[in-house]
Amino acid sequence: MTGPLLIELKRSNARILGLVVGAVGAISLASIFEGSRQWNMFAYADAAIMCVLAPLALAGGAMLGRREQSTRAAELMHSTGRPSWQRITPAAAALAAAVTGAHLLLAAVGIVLMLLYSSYIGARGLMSILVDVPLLIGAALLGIAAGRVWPSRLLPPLLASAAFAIQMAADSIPAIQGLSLIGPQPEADWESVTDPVLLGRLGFAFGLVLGGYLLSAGTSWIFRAGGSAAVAGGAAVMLAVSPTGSAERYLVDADAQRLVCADGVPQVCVTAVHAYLLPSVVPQARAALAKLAKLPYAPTRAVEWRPDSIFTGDEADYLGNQPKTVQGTVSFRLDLDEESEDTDVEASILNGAGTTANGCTLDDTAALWAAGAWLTGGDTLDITDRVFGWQLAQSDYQPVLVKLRQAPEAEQVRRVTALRDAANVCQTKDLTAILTGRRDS
Amino acid sequence: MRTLSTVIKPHGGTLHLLGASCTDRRQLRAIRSRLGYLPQHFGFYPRFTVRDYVEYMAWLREVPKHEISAAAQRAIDRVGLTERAGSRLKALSGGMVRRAGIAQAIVNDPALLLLDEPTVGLDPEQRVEFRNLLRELGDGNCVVVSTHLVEDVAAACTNVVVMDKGERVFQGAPADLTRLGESDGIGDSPAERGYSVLLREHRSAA
Repeated sequence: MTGPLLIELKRSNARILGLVVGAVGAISLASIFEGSRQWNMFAYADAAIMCVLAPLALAGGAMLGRREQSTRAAELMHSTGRPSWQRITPAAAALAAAVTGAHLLLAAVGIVLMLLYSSYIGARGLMSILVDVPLLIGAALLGIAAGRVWPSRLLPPLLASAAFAIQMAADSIPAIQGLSLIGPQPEADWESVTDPVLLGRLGFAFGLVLGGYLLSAGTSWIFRAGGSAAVAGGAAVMLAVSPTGSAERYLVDADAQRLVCADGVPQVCVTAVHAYLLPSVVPQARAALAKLAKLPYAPTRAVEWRPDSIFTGDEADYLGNQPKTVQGTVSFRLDLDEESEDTDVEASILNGAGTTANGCTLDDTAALWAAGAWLTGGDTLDITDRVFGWQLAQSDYQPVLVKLRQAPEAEQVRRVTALRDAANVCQTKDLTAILTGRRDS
Repeated sequence: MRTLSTVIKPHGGTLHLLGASCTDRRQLRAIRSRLGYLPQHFGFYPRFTVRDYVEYMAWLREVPKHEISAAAQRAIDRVGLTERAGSRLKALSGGMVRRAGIAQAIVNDPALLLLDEPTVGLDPEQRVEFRNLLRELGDGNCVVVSTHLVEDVAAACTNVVVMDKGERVFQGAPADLTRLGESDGIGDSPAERGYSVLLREHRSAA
């Protein structure tokens, strides 16, 4: 069958479909991915663009499916010895090869970019990408089947539009959200998709492949019924298995959170997903450690904070009343900007004298900012918090800072140390009183 | 012709081709592999080249894999399209497309070759060439040609069956048909006149 397959690859719409899927995929991927350097985000973007690529594959399949009728070649084809399933196989295989090639090429480009500019590539993200290969193939096969049944010129655009509309509806109607190929995006760089998400997509993909093939090649009602049942079954599996909420769709990827430490002392470690940031983070973290050394029992190691739960947008996912601290270690959160960089690591470590990433709910932010500004030796502490949205103006904490500086030097150190120690046991109410001397720790 | 080519099932009665029953699904595949067929409306994939199409049809007609390339080349050579083997079908003239259609029909050296109105759309020169090809093909195979052009039958066939509304009106040698038109009938040639005489007599008897 190699000969007919090569002919179909050269002469059918397979190559054009591959080009369209590749080009539209690249544009869609770029618009979602936006230059992020995170593998899990890339895997999400690659999965989300299926809402566009699958309808395209469907339309491409329909164009090929209507070929026999539109060229009036059906009579001749039906007079040949090959059974129907063999007759359809070269064309179906050519389309499958084209969409698979286009998708894997996109993935390969993404992987190369990740290897060059990122520091982590995980198995779950890779599985998420590979699961969508049969999904595209299934969509193309289903398109072929539709084109053979209704060989109208209008069919390909109608089919693509309908499939895209269904995806948009699935993304917004709770009852059918399980069918959505888009879904919510991960909130943290170490969050990967869960098994049910992968299984749901895989079930749908295999339903489409089996159903599409049976409907394309089958000549009796048994095959057509079986094909329809396979497609419906695949959709039902996806609907039943796929979780819709972030809490069930994502898990914390332990490999992505693995610590990677820079050479030298004091030790600075970040998670594997942020290891590419070490060159810019290390000087900032070490500068912060040097400033924290003004306080007694200062930490000698800085480690990126790692939650053990996924983030759903609620502060309570990450912050509570149980401190997560390690003796001698200060934790810090990396808040990446649009260029996937964090330029205020030093300030964020100094904020609250190294306590703002200790797992505690922090209520008195003015005191935390004032303590940080005091440690810098200046009047301001510029931090942009992209996770919780904490943002204070200088005027918010300036009165606390002024009051703190009115105390004798040793008293200032004692008060900031007291704030640190209170915050590190999650006693975060009215920290201002500690800094201003209204309350002794 | 569509029934003979096994594209549609016989509405009634029995049909045996090449010693096997066409209504027996188990024998259909074997029959089809020994058939060559050029439909009246020869449908083709316009982006395919002549060689692509003939090789593709060879695969569909179950020519053994290792013989496909040589068989396709042989068929293309026989219909005189060697120079245009690499041309896309959509770039060919009507006559050349017809010849490509014959090439795909003979690529499996069929035991039974069915040609439905093969000379439609051909110019006089091409029709003469086609008759020569038909004679050549008939040397080694059974060729059934359906046509309304009586001269083609007289010039290239060894046996003629005249049908009217699904009924057989005449079966015999072309010379017998010609003889009927020597002194009667309408038409420009004895064969045409013989054909018209047959139809007139059949219809008046009915």
